[in-house]
Amino acid sequence: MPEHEVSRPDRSLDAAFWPQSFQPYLSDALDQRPAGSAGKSGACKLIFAAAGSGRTQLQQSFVSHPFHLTRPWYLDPALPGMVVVYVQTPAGGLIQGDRATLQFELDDTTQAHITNQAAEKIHSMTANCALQNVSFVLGTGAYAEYCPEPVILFPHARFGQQLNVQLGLQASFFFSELFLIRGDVIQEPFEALSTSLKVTDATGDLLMREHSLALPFQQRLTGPGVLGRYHVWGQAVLIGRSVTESWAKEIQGEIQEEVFPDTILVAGTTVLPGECGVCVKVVGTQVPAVRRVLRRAWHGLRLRHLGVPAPDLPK
Amino acid sequence: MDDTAFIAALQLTDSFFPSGAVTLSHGLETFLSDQSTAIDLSQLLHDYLERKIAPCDLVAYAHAYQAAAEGDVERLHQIDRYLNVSLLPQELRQGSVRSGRGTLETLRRIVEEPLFQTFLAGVDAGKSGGHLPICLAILHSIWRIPQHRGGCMLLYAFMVNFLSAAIRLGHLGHRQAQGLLIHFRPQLMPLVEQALESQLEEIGSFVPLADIRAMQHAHLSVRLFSS
Repeated sequence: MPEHEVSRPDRSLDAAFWPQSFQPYLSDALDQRPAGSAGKSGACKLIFAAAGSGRTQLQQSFVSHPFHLTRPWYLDPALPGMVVVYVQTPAGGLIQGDRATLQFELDDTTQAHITNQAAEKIHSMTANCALQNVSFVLGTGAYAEYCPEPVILFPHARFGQQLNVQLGLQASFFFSELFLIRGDVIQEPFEALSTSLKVTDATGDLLMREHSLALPFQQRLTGPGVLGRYHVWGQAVLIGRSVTESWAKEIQGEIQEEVFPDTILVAGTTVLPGECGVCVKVVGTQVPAVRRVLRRAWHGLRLRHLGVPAPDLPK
Repeated sequence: MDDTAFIAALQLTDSFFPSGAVTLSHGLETFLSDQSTAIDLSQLLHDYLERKIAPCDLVAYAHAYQAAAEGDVERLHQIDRYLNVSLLPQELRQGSVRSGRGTLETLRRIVEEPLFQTFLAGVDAGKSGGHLPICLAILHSIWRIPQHRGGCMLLYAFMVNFLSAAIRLGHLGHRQAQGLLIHFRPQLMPLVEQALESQLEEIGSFVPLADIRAMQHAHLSVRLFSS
């Protein structure tokens, strides 16, 4: 392959939907190698298929820097066929100009749990931004869990993330996410954060979507409706099966039990549009407490959806 | 805006209009029921307006107004469904539909314009839920209320609703409420202008606490409001 083809920056992610306030970042030139060039454009594309043994196998993988893959594991005693994959990033976080693409395809009836090894730092930036696109395509009856470790937003970080999920018939998806601000929320917050989540059903109809845009230097984060005195926030979502209102109520009760008197956090649980799932949102001042709520939500939703508890996965 | 449109605007924005929005607190009841935190109502209203209603309801309204002006009923249903899957706290979703349908029902046998009746028939047939911003956009378009004025009306009606809930919950006096309405006047038009420039895909908000309070409301044991 000619050299210019090797080094041509991959800006395909820039062409996806980003809010208008991100457009100046996208066209912002870097003093170092261009955004999306080799070393700044990482991909992890995995395809899972069912094996005769009933196990889900990693059938195909394409992984480029900064991503690295361990071998697939089978670590959940309650779901012995579910493959557990740790997507590692030895690079130590995302910096300006980074473009990351993660694609997961699950064949019919397969089950996969995707996570990473440690928290993801989004470093301080003076030019451009970091973008990450995560997508899942689930076949009939497939079930995926996407539970990355916390995302740490450094002062002046600019980060855009998209999560797109395509559900096949009777497929379901669980995901949890957690963000925290490193540094002073008022004096030194991140600069821009855009996150979006889109889930479609087997016919392509939207089941739910969410878009959040935070620009702390233009709109303060400490407002009573935004984050107040908290600087850690997260959510857990199960989507793809019909739920009753009692699920949300019960899980809300279980979370309340989990919250000890000394932990300062607020959490809420709701039924998603079309009664197609449950969403739990939480804000707090400490990562361990918020994590505990998200884990409790995961456990409660797993018990109701699959009849099995949440496992303790080694990290 | 001609005089007839002005009077139509008064009628639609008046709390005398039976949309049912008066039963909604948008999560305010949960905020105020938590005795451990003192809430600055002015700041909270600011967060709701700037971070939730403007980038969410108002953007849907702006696109729906455009679709209504073009007589595109299918597009109206599409925007209505889009807003529905974007409103994650269940009670906010239900409240928005309830007051939208309340508006449609009130005018079902009164407004004969084909656009209104076709959309109403579509809602009856389950094509979409009938969220308030979509229903208002249709009426504003039919009654020739200009889009930016209609956008202001939507924000103003929200403020009146929110403040009246605060009064009924015993956390605000009538005079303070009028003071806040005056205070927020200059902030409305810039929010409308921004919303009119936003794409439909930008519909969204970053108000984790407001969302959580709205979610918790469904689980309150004693409550005065339906959201």
